[in-house]
Amino acid sequence: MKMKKKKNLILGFMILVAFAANLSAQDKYITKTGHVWIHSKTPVKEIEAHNRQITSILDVKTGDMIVSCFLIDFKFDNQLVEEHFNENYVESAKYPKVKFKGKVENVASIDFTKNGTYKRMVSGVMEMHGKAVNIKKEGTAVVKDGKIIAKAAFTVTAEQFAIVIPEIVKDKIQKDIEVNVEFVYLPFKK
Amino acid sequence: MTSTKKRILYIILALALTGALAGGGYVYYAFVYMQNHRTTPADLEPEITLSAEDLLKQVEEDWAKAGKTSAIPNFIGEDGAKIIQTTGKIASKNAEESGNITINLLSEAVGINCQLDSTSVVENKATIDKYKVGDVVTIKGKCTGFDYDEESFEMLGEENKHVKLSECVIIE
Repeated sequence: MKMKKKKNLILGFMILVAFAANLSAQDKYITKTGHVWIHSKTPVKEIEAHNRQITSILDVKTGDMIVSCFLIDFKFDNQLVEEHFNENYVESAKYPKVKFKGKVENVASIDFTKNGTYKRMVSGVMEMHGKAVNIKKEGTAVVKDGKIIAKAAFTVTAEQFAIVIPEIVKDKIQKDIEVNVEFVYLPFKK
Repeated sequence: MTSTKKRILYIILALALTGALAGGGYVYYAFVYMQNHRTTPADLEPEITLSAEDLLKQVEEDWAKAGKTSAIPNFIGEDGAKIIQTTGKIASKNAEESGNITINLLSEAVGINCQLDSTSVVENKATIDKYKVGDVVTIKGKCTGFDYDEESFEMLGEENKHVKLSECVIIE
């Protein structure tokens, strides 16, 4: 091949690579209305609370994920229970935010440009009430029309986060509290 | 006791009993009602009233002074979250699947993130529909936190900073 043709070929190839790289430049996803709900059931009492204002950012190239959740945004049916939750148990005035920082394993094998359902392990650290706890649980990601619908369920105990449940109400609160997550991530546009 | 006096006594007792039952019933109903009725920011007077710009600035200063943990003692204190009334330009207004509406003041990335609950959205539809992106609006809500940390900044490559207001209503 003559020198000029070779140079043009290389240049052409580089432009093609740059173009292709831009096509899959969508690597950050975000939600500010993520849904988390907690559930506790004992023979004596059933409690559920919903928070629909979770912020989460997901990087699909690295698998990095952060979640920010504000405890006062948890809505209980009974306002008295909500007050106890905030004032006595989680002490939301002192520690308003719950933060999770983790990683989704094996994201490289997910094609985010095509619809599909994937199960992946998510592991990281959850900080609440001044305590940090390792969490590792499998979640499901449904890629649908450019969105990512992420779901997970796990349990936590009050003890893990140094939350004190008084003896009198111990029979009203389940030891392993269910935490359910459902986030609809949209591509982050600058 | 004469029979007339007895009759009067019985009538008085019957009235007293009916009164007691009615009173008791009312107290019980009020007690149950109080348990189920929620006080929302719509029912309360604002504790702090300021512009959206000032709100963001003051919350961030409070957060920094308190050690950048997440505590904002002047906005979420011992008595819980303060009721804030703030005025600013709407940068975005979105209806969620849940029926909630999210209004961002100042800008979507940096500003005041206000959530209006689905029940209040239904009740106040006419008022809410009046406001569009670019309009100035006054919103009252509960301050639930300051959403900002270095990691999100690193991940997004740009600032993403919000004062969160919950159970909001539009004030006209």
